[in-house]
Amino acid sequence: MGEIIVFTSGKGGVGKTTTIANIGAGLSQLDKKVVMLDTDMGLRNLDVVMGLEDRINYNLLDLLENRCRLNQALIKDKRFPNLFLIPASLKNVPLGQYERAFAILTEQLKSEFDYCLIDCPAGIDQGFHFATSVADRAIILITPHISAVKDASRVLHLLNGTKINKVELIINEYDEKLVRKKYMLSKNDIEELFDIPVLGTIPHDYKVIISQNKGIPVVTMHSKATRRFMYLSKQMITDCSCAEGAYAYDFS
Amino acid sequence: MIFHKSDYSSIAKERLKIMMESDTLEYSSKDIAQLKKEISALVSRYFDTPADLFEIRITLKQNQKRV
Repeated sequence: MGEIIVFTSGKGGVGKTTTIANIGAGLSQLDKKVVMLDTDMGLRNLDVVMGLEDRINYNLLDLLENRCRLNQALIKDKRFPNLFLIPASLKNVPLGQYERAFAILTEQLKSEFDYCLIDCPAGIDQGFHFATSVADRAIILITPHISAVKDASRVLHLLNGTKINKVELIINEYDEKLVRKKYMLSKNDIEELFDIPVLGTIPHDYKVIISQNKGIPVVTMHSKATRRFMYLSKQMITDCSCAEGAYAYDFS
Repeated sequence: MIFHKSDYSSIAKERLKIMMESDTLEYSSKDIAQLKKEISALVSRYFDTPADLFEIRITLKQNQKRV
C-alpha cells in the first residue's frame, strides 16, 4: 500500500513544484514507484518543470470526468526508472464536485505506486482543500521569509481536520551563512515555532533555474541542491517507519 | 524584549510567535475592535482627552498574547 503525500505551502512561489519534481525523481532513483499529481488546475507547471509538456494527451480533469483510463493519463518519464506524472488541466474548474472521484482515483494509485506526490495550488481556497482531502501525510514548504512562515502556520492549522496524520516542514532558500549572522530564521527557530520536525533544508542554487530552463530535474546535475534533494528523498523513506514519536506530529 | 543590535532572526521569531498564537485564539477581530472602542470612550470621558491622543493595547496576561 502506497502513501499519498501532499506538498503545500499557503504562500506561492516557495518551491512546491520544484521540490516535488526533484523528490519524485530522487525517490524513483531509490527504486520506488512514484506518481506525481498536479492539482493546480488552470496553472499547471509540474509538466513544464519536468520537461514533459509535449507528452500530454489527457489530464487529471479528464480522469475525474471519466474521459480516459488511468493508463492514458499517466505520463511515464523515461529518464527515470519508475516515475510517472498526471498533469493538471488547462481549464480552471470548481473542484468541490470532484472530491469523491479524486478519492477513488487516489485509492487506486495507492495500490499501484509506493508514493503519490500531490502538488497543491497556492492559497487556501477550494484547490487546497481538494488536494489535501485525500492525503495521508503533508509536507509544508516554506522559505525563511516571515510571510511564508506566517502562511504556513495558517496551513498547519487548516490541516487539522483532514485525515492527514503526519506533517513535516522543508525549508527552501535556506542560507547557513545568513543564519549564522542571525540575519535569517534558523531551522531550530522554525522547528520551535511550529513544533513539528523539519525534514531538511534546501539552499539557493542557480543550477535549479538552469535545470528548469532545460526541462530536467536538478537531481540529474551536479550541484548543492542535488545533494540536498537526494538527502531529502532518503529522509522521506526512512522517516516513514520512524516510531520514536519525535517525528510524528499528533493533532490531538 | 531587547535583542542584540543585529539579531534580526529573533525579531522575526518574536513577531511570528505573537502572530501564530493570536491565529489560534478564539475571538473575533470585531469583538476586539468594539472592546477597544468602548475602552477609549471611557478613557476620554475620565481624562478629557480626544481618542486620537492615546492608544489602546490589549495583552492577555497569562501567556503574553497581544491581541
